[in-house]
Amino acid sequence: MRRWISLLTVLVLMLGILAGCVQEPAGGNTTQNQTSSPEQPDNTTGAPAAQQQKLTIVVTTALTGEYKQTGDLAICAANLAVQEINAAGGVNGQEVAVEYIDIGADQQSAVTAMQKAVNTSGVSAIVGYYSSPYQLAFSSIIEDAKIPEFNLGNSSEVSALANPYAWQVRTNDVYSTYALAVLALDKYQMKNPAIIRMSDASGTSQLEALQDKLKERGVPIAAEFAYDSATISDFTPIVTQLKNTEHDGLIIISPGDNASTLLIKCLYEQGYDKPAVASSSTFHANVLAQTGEAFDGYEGVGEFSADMEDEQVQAYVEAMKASPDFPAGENCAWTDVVIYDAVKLICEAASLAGGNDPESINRGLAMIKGFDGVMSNYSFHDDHTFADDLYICKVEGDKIIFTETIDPRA
Amino acid sequence: MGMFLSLTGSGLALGAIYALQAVSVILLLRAVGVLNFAQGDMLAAGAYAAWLLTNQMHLEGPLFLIALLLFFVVFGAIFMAVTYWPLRHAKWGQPLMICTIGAATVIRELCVLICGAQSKTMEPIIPGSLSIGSFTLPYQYFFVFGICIAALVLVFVLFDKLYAGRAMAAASQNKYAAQLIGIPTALTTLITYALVAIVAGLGGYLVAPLFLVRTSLNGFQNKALCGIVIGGFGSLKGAIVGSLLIGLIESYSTYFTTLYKDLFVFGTLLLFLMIRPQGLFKGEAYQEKA
Repeated sequence: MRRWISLLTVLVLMLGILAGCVQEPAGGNTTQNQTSSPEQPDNTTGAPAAQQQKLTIVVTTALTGEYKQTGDLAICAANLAVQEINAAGGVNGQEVAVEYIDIGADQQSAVTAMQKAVNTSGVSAIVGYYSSPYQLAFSSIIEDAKIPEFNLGNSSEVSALANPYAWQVRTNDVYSTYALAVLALDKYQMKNPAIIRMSDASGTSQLEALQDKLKERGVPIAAEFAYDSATISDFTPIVTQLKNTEHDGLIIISPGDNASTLLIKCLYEQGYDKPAVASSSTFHANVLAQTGEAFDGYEGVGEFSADMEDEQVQAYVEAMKASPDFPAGENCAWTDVVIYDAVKLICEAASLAGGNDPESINRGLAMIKGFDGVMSNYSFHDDHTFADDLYICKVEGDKIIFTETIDPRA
Repeated sequence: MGMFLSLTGSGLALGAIYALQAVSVILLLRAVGVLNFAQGDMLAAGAYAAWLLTNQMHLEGPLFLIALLLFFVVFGAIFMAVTYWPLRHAKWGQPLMICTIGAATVIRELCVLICGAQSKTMEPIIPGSLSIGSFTLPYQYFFVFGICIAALVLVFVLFDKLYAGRAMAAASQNKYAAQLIGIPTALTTLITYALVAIVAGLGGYLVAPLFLVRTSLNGFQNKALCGIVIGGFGSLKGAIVGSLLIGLIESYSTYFTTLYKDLFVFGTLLLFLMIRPQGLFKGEAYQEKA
């Protein structure tokens, strides 16, 4: 008798769990179905404002841990963008709301965070994270949930996934790497460069692009040194090896974090004196602040600097610093402005498509052309990236100076 | 030749830091029988403390050193009060060990809360590098090696020559017997914890100018544990030799691969576990608490 009662209890519990799963499909709510019914025209008219759902953007960023400071700036940037949009009347007659989820400290936490993001009630779009490995890990979650998500990195491996719901604000790293190679070969006349790169997906894809470009120009690579940016502390062995290798210049592919700082300081301390160019992520405000004179004179491909002589950039920097959320002692960098532009792109897409639901936004993103962002102008490209512009930049003293604007796809 | 010397220099300096960590772990293991998983975070806390005292409070010279020492002593006492004292009568060591895992997270988050999440820079003790031909190494590496070795020698002298050290060793071997002969075991345990904090924190202060002040400095703990196993679990001498060996392996392995150097380090650990599990030196068998 007891056995039957236990079995019945288990059965009832299982049925209850199954019923709960069926009631709330991932990433959706009932209003979403109302605003994107198949009978409605594709894009222009959309539903009336009263029937539109609120545009809810979920931002996954570092709320705790080693990169919390970057997360604080990200929150500030997203809040600023949302405030400006709501002050201008919102999108499709509705206010924009933003929610934040902690991306955590590792890949597993990032996957969990993205699960939470797609399951957030009423989510219209997601602003993801910078890390390409994380993006690769949770790409299927986004695709299954059919919610547009902006990756803030620039790895071409993300584009290669061909996920129809994954987007990238920044230029694909293949193009930025081509530009870096051209800078190294044409301006610095490197005939036999060495490469130091990070080992993750972004570093690997940039290396492949670099190898292609150098091969095209018949330039051999003197040596290639890879490092794990998550675990490395001491670059002395790498720089020692570099100095003992025959080469005439250095190409650095590095993220804008501690690894970049440690590498540049090590090169300086070891008295490295050959010309060196660096990838876009390296030119970050934190790296500049931490390396001091060690970074002076470095040139490379850049995307943003708070010192850019551009009205829009300066207005953004001013507005960020005036914000009560802005962390004291910090400066704006590409890691926050990319989120600001991502939020604006999402709202622009919703406006173009006439709907605040995920499918409309995803459709609208493909309609964006010549959108005037802070970091760049943005247009839809087939590889699901948006940034139209890149810059050649140089470190002079305590500033990153942008010397030239280039079309990365030219 | 210059390259070999540079790799050796940086390897020995790193190895010395691992040795400091390893010795701290062994000291605590011997004193209270717990493997301290917060060792790496204590090193990071030392780096943060040094940064706070120099960059924020602008202390210099002897005043800075005294303040730093006092900080480590108080830190060690609080660490003991929180992670050991409430559980000191526990029948097994596992609760104590788990406590240290939790303490590691608390220490890490406190550092972020008080000092901010962004990594910070610190000036080296003496800036600049020594360059002789193709050999170049920042002076800080020499300081790291020298001060670490000096600290390790002091620890040896304490336990080998001084009465206080012998009392602490006696208390760690058999607490009950030590109490019977009048050794204040609570005090010896407190001193051990303070010593562990000082040694760990000193490592943090030394590496901060080289590797930035950041919470991920706790990664040094993993290689230190490798050094302990390779040297002989429980042996102080073994921990030092094993850690120096790990530092050298890590450095020399970059000659073959800069990316998979950790593979060499942990591969060596596996090799030792398969071929010579007792390590290079026979560690002292850990005695059950009385």
